[in-house]
Amino acid sequence: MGFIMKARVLLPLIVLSAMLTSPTGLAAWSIAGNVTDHSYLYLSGYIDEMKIYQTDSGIAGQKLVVGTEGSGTVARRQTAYVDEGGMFFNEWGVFQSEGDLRNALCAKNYAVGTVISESYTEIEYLIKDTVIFQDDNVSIYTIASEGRGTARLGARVRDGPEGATIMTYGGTYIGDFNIRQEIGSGSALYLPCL
Amino acid sequence: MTARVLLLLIVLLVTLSSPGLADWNVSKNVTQRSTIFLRGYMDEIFIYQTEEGLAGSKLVYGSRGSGTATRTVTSYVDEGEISFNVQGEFFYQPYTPQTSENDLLRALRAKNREVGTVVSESYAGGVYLINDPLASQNDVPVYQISSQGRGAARLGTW
Repeated sequence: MGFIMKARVLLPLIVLSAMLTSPTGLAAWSIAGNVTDHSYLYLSGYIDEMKIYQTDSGIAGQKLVVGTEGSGTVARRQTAYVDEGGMFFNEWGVFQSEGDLRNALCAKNYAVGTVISESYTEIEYLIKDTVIFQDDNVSIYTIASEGRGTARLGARVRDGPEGATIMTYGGTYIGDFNIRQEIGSGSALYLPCL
Repeated sequence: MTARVLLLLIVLLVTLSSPGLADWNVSKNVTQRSTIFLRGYMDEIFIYQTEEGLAGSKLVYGSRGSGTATRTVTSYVDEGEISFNVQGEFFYQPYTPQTSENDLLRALRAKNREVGTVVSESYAGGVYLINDPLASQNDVPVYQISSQGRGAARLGTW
């Protein structure tokens, strides 16, 4: 009787600990093979849009949020590809306003432990080209932005949930700015245009 | 007026290496290359370390102020070393970022002494503010702050 009681308690514990300690692998999608998104937009007026991508739900996999809100003139192109293994995202755009336009992007890679965020507010004009690539082994964030307004950039690289915070970066740039930035973690061949 | 013009030219190259390797589990290395040109106001900071706490190598670089700046940072960090190179030209010119005049103040602070987390937020000089904070302290502390407004917002956690 005692043995059965012990087994009843121990077995779920063993299963739970095995689940918690198993290495992070690919997200397991059952139905969707991949998602592709090609979007071109020209607008003179008011815009409020947001796109959210993730390879896994909860605190796992890779995430990306991008959005634009406000009034002005916007010409932007987005390309996204997401599958179980990771995601690629590019936003290229020209934004003009009388200071009432905001654009922001945040990308996280829980498998590698990296995050980057960029936001642009009070945009008079902004020409941006942001390229994000992240999978379970590598994160590459490339930002090229030129404009007049307020730009805020931030990034963090951490060696997994229990590891050291290797890099922390935060910057606020107000006025006329031209920013070229590339942050990478992991190993991959990449050839950025900067 | 020439005395108020600050010309600063920096070229800094640092390579820090620790006697023993840090033991990273996930990250293999971190590379960063950043070039900015700015005419206005900037406030930036770069922090690197190979290990937490009083161990390994650490490096902090920051610059703040107004004027015209051109600077390039190139850095590489792995378990064994931090390599950091900054090259820049900074000219001082006065620049005052727009701040709204308003004495609306808001603050929130939540602590969980058991787990050891603190989050605080304060808003000052706001023209408008839409705020929806959420703090759950039952089992796992979750602090979620969603705010939109114009003015100065201060958030912190430690």
